[in-house]
Amino acid sequence: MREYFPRGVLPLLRAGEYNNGYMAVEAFLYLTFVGTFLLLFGPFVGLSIALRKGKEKTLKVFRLVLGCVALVCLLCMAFFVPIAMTTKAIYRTPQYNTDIGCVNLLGVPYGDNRVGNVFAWLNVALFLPAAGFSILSAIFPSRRVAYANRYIATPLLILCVPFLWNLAHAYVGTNLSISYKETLVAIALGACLSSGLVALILDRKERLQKNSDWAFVFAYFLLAVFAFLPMGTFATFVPTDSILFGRIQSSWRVFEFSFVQRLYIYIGIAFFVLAYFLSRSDDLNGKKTVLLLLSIGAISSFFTEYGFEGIFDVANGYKVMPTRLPIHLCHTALFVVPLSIAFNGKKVFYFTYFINVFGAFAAMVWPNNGEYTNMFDPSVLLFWWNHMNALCMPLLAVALKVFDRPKMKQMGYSLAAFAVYFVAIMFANGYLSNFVPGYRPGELGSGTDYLFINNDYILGIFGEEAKKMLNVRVQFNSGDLVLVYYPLYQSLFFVGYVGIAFLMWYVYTFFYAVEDAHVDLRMRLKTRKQNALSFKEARLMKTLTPSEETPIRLNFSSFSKRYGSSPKLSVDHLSLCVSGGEIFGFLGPNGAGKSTCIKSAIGIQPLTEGSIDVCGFDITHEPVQAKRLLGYVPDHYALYEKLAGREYIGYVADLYGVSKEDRAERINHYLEAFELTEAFDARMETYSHGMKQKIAIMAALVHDPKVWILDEPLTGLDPQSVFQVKQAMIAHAKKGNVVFFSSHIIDVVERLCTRIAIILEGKIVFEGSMEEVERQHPEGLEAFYMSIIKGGKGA
Amino acid sequence: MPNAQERKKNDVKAFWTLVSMQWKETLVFPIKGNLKDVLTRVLLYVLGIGALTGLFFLMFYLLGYIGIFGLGGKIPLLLWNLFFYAVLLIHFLSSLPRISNAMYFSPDNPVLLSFPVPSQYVFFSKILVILLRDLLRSAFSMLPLFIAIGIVYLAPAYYYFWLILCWVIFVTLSTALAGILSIPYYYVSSFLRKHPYVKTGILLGLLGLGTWFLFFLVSLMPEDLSLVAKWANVYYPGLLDFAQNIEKALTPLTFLSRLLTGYDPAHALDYPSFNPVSIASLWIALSLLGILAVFVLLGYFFLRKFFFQMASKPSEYSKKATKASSSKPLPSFLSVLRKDLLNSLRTSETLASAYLLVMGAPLAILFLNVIFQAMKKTYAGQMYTIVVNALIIALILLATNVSMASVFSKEAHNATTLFSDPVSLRRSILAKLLMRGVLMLISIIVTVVVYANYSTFAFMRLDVFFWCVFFLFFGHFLWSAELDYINPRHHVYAQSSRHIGFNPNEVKSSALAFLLSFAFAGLLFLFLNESALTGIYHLLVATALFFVARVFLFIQKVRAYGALPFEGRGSK
Repeated sequence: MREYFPRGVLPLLRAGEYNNGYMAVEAFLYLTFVGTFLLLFGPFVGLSIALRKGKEKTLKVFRLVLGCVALVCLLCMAFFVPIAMTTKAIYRTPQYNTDIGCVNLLGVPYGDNRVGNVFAWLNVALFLPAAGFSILSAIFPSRRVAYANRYIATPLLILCVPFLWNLAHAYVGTNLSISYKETLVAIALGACLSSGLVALILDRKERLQKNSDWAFVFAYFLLAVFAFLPMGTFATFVPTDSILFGRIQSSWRVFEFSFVQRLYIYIGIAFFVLAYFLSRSDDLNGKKTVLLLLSIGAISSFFTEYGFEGIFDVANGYKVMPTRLPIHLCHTALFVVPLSIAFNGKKVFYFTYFINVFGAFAAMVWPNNGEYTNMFDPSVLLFWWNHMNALCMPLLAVALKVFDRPKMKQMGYSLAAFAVYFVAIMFANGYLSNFVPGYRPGELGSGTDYLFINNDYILGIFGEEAKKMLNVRVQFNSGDLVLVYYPLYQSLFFVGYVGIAFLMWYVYTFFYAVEDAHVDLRMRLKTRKQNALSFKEARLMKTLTPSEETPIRLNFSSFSKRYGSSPKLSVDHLSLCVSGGEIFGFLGPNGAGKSTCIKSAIGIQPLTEGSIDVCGFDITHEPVQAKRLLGYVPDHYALYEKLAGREYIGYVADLYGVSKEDRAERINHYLEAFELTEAFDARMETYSHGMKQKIAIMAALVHDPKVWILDEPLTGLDPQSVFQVKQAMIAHAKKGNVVFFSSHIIDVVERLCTRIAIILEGKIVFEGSMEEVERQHPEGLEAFYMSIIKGGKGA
Repeated sequence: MPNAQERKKNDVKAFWTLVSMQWKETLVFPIKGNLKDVLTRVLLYVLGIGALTGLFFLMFYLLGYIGIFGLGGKIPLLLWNLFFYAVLLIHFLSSLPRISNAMYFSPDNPVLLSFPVPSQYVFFSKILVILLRDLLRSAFSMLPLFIAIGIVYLAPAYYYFWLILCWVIFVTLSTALAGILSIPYYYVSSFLRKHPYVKTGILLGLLGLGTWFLFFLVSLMPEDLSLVAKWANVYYPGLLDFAQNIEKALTPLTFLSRLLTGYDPAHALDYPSFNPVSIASLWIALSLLGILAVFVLLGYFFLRKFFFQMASKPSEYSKKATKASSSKPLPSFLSVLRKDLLNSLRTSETLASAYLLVMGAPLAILFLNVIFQAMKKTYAGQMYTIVVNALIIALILLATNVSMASVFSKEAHNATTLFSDPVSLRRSILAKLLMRGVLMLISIIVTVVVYANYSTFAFMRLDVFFWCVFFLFFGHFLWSAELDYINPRHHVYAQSSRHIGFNPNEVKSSALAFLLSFAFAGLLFLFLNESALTGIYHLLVATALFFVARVFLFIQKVRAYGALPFEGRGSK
């Protein structure tokens, strides 16, 4: 067991088994760590004691500065000390149909000690996101991030302390010594730990709002783990590969738009979509933290290939390698996004939004991998992760509302910036190519090719004919330098890219519409859920619940209705209660709000304010129960005219659950009353207007409703039919039910109704019994009504 | 009291008022109103004609460029005439019911006849409005065709003015003839209205005849098509023979062609230069004007009387006693289903469209694959065959979903019944979707079975392909219904049985159908190219994800928009 267990604190306890050289390095590491920690954390302790209360602002500034210092330390470490566990050279073999044997383990810290290597890798994989959280919780305090720092990040960092040796091994490799690399690792751990502890102490009073926030906290950390995964080392530990099984899967190649390449795109998009859903409900600082975590993780991975030893030729006097500068378009996104998020740099941010996103997408769709590149090749993974960040980060920042949706002028600024960048890169290509070993001026591919404007890769996609554009070439000589440009191709490239940037505007507009629809849907669902909960609570508090004992009534309680965004209420806080046994007349001029009240009462329209209940059942929250007690005759009959009268009544009776015996009895009764027996089995398209109206009335009565609402039921009926309908209304009210009807025929209302209300401009201007009306206004209802209306309009 | 001259002047003014009033109702072009709106509409109209002209020109040009009609780069006028006759015939056949409805069944007739205007002015105002409307409608079909052939044949400049005159003559003749024939048409349609089972029988008979004709065409298909090899010696001469036979059968129409282009049947197979205005064409023009004069006289003496007789007739007719149907109680879900079924079965148009819905795709695929089977194909050819089949299947099936984009709104005239019913609206929605869904499932099964009989691609898993089509279809099906649910147009359907103007939901559904079909075919091509064995499974995953997403969104939106889906959203 001992030989598998990696070194850590144990060497100090097993001093006799290791040579003094190792001990010295270990001591150096821990001293550097402790020194850094004390240097950074010590002043905080001192400040806290000295300042006591009332100087929280100073402490906040201190934490911000400390966070930035820790960030710089971490990035320096990532830049100058690439993770040792890469096996890049292994995969670049031309033969992919055979196993290529065991992986070369020279770069791996623990040789063929597989457990040790995995442990070292885990050490790195957990240290980085923990460090990220500790730094960002100091810079952008937020509730969920504070919890992640408190319960996950800082404890992990503390756990890294006894295993600092393994961490250093993972970064530096097998031969540890006292050098700048080991120093940087120790400083990074010390700075990040102190930053995390400071944030933990200052945020100790933060509390999560609900239990589900725990899931978010862990999800955030998992996101960070993925974002900070050392992509370049991934190949070493993939189960099909190298260190565990010693073989490489040869058939998973990545080229052009193959299935595997698409798989990478799907996984990348799924990751960022997940990040969106996780952080959309967080506060602004929380969102910024998530975005920065992803950005810093990407930068950390990026330095694996473009770190100090990636850019400078270490073996040749640290000369800059001209083809290895991080000035490709997608490289700019890696730095621009986090800087603009951290410093709220809108203009800079929108450059990536309009320019980088398409470039990254094009790169993902047309990757310039070699034909035999394996899917776990470090260059493939790094390429994928860098470009997914450049593609998705700007979109995520706008989707999370960290930045507003851009306006046209911001696109203008971006295009102007792109023009400057393009010209700079064009000249850079011409100039830097001179320093590439083996460069032959005018020979494509022998110089530098930033932005793909110095090569025929892009044109190759369009065919051989397109490549002829490169024949238009301009060459300048300046001393020893030869500057070669391709004006036709490069101009068209620029114009084409700008054109696509314009098109992106419309693509974005489409996606905004999709997002708005999604947000609108969420808000509606939330509102409905809240309303239902509020109603349940209100119902619980009420003493009266609908039951057999509930009086038969139609009750409007402070009911208001507004149509759309109209400034005026169509019905304004109307309160009215109609009890069983009443024939209630509802009068008013056109547009007064009669139909609005009726349609709201039967559940066709939602209410703006107030409530309407039918025998105690709220029409909004208990619509089915309320409607079972309602019968409605519309102002214009609404029938399925292909059906026979009997079929239609049968259909309505089924919907109301009327038993066979009851429906037969009622149908026969109303057929006789309305004299429809002969025509009842004919299709309703052959009926006259009066017959159709009678069928509508029958349909409203077949279930013997407690509340019967009629909206101008007598319009267009012959006198006999009018009489029949009135008789039906009287009979229904005599049974103790409510009959509520609106009409313009004042004479009928006067003779039929027991109580009336007059509505004018959405408000009840009169309500009372017919006896009161007759007593107070012997001239009759019509004269009274006209006086009310004229008086109301004149007022 | 105004004198006779003043009365005449007033009557003429009233006549133009009648024309203007009825014209506004057509909603084609506003006469008055915002100048900017009018100019915009005119411009769009002209651009539309321009676009169609471009399309026709491209078609004729390409046919000529490919040289399939021989050298010379032009399509023979004989073949162009086939297009021309088809357009005229379609115009005439569509005018007939339109004129009949506008003249005899228009609800404004009683109102117009009650105005203080000489009654014949009412008649003439109607005729004039019908004619103007027909001219504008036919401009989209005829003018692009005429202009395109002129460009291809390098017609002289005066041809384009001549064609305007010819176009007016053609449309007026067609409308006049349709007007005369509207009288027997009225009697026939009234008979069919009173005897719906006869109408249904005739429709089904026509559909059966159409199906039989399709099978007949399929039986004529040679086993080895060799379209390219046999074109010059077999198919092209056959096509010309067919065209000449059509011409012989429709001899009077050749005069119209002669009037417009100077076409001479004696030189049908040549490529004569355009000679539109000649002595012969002037004689033809005069003859046509004479015929038109006869039609006008007939119209004046017979049609006018008939119009007044019909306009004042009530549209009701006596009821027939029918068998008493049972009123056995049913659960509400089944009751809704039964109601929708009865509604559909009793509308002959619904039956016909149901037949087309179910059989449209299978018959199209059958016809297509008989042609494909007769072609020799390489491996790439087989791939293209699969993709084209997938595209056609998707296009036809998804096109049937466009009507789902008004499935709820069309109930608008029953809206109050729908929403005052004490049944969860979801049950009504499910009942509506279920009936249509079952019908289309049958169609999908039949289509895939037909395709399976002809598919020769060894790696094509047709059971998996069925599920791909199933997911694609029902995803779009729910999407279309959802469009109507969240943005209903019931306020328009409540006033008219059809949508006035464009229904934006149906337009969106059509656009989606188009895009999804091409995406479906494109993805199939991409995946099969990558791997013939596993490509279809990739497509299955993609379509399944699409279906799951649409089901989820549909449920969410029904929940979000709740049991009151029509409030406020119908006003858009």
